[in-house]
Amino acid sequence: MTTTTTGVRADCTARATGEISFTLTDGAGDLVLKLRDGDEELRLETGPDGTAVLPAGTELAEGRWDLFADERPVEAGIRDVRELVDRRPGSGDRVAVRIPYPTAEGRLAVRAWLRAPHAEAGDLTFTEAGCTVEGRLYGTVAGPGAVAEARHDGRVHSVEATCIDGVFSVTLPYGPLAEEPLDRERLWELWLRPAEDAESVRISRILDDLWDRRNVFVYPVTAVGDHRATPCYTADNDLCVRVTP
Amino acid sequence: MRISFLLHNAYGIGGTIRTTFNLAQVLAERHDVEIVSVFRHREEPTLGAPPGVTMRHLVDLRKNSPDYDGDHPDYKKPARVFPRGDGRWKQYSRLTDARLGAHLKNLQADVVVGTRPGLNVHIARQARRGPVRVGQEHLTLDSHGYRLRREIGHRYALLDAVTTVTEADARSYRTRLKLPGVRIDAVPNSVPAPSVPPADSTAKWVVAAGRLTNVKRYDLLVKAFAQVVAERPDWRLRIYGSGDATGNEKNALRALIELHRLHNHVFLMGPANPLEPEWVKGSIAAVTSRIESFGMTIVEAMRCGVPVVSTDCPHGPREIIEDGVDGRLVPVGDADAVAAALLALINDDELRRKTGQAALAASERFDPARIAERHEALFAELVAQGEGARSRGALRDGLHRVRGAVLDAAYTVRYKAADVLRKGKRK
Repeated sequence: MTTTTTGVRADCTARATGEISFTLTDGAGDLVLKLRDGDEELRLETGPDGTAVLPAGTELAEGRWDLFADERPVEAGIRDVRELVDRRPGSGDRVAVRIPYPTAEGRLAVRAWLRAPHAEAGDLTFTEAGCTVEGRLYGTVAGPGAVAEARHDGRVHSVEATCIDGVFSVTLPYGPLAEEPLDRERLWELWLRPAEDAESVRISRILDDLWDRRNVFVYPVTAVGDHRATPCYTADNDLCVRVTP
Repeated sequence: MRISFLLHNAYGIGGTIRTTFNLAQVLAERHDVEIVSVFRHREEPTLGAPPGVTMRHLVDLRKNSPDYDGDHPDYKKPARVFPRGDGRWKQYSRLTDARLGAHLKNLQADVVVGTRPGLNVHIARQARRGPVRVGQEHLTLDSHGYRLRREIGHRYALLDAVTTVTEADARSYRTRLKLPGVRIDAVPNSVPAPSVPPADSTAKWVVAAGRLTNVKRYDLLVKAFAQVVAERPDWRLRIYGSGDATGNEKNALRALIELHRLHNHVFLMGPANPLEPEWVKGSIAAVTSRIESFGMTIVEAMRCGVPVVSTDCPHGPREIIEDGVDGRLVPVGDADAVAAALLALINDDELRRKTGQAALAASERFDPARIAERHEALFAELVAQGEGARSRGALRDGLHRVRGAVLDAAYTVRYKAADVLRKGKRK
């Protein structure tokens, strides 16, 4: 990681409630959050002690928000995000996540997710020819006909899902995902449809302190005929199954 | 006092740099302190320059600098003064020989402090008479090869003091080398109070941090953790760090994690800096090393209120941890013992909380202010003794240097002969 000095630095503390408090270098001015791929902006007043607070109730659209103080990018200081590590949000119809993180340039940004409902991936276990994903469903109640879907390039494979007391479990055989002809990598997105007539929900893992888990959550690779299959996460923490020839 | 530190490269990242910065910063509150970096390859020190300390460099390796020294003809010629036995020898040159020589000859300081064997040798050989000469050992005597130990045994006689980071290593210096009149003291490394509140012992995570190299024995930790998970599947392990020039165990560790089906429980996190916010995400820290010259990560975790389960390896851990009080010491290489010690803390919330509190209190003795006082007292005492009373009288220096020149010649012949033999073998 390279660090670019901009003169403004912020330490921050993230709470399980969603609140983030920032402490800026002296005289840095108000803190402005700008959505990277959009026009949205949010200005937070910086108090005389150099602190600015993003309240738990202030909604951030899903995406990456860059931080500025008087147009100057803010360098990432100490990030105390321990309360995010094993987060279990309360019941409510939506799940809001905001993780302060350092960009590759060492600048402070906030990764936000806003999901209603939300399917949180948990432990993965493996069989000889597939994997089982267990997780927790937030913001909706499962009904009859719940399925998980693997989607790639317009194709959808559905398998039965069990949902009991908000905990879902899906066993996904790799065979159909490695259908011939397979000449290049296929990345199957995993979705959960909680009931026959419900909208599908993307299965993701966002309830901890990791804004990008691609190199941290690494799973066993299974041989499927001449091909290989393994679950993985995207840069957006969405769960997929990667099948490679 | 005017205190001048000599550092290999103040612009990089490493334990010696960090601890020198901590020490220099505290000393600068009362003294005139400079850090002289042999090399400079970037504008700002990666770890941030210590406030109040003058920074200087001798060889400029910033490509865009008008004073860039990388093209200097002497930069490519192998060093003669810097000892070959020091692992950094390849980076030194005829140019560093000359620059260090000029710097040490004109030293305007009461105390000059070297921070690695090669630089301590430079100080012994080239520093003008007058300033107190202190050589710091940040590794251990044992960790050096035969050639460097021989050279240290010979050259360090011209230092006033050698400081080691453990009592164990100080004993090695006292008993294995003949350094009459050289004061040998152990002063541990310092670790500042963390920038985050201490851990509260409730998180069900074990944290480890260090280079992913063989000496850290993370394979042992993963195996031990398989036993932990069998009994307490609600606990998980994060290992922070990456490989270095001496190796990278990442792929081997991944394979081991897969073999034990621990992909939901053991995570290789990659490097993190600073580590404090990561330590406080856990309630227990684990160190499974074969060797720890000091055990910086043990002190760091303890300062965050996280109790450490560590192997009782040479040299540092047993001088930091009081077994059963503020952490646990277990035999080296014994996965069952690591697992048992982890489980004892995992299964007893009150014991874990108490041990963490004890670790927090006990580790205050490593605060930079308190460690700096010990260095300061040593420096002041040696300065007060005056040149005549120290071992560095002009006569002795002269005699030693004559003897040194004779030995130099002998060494040179011998090393050349050894090189020829080695080259012969390689063919």
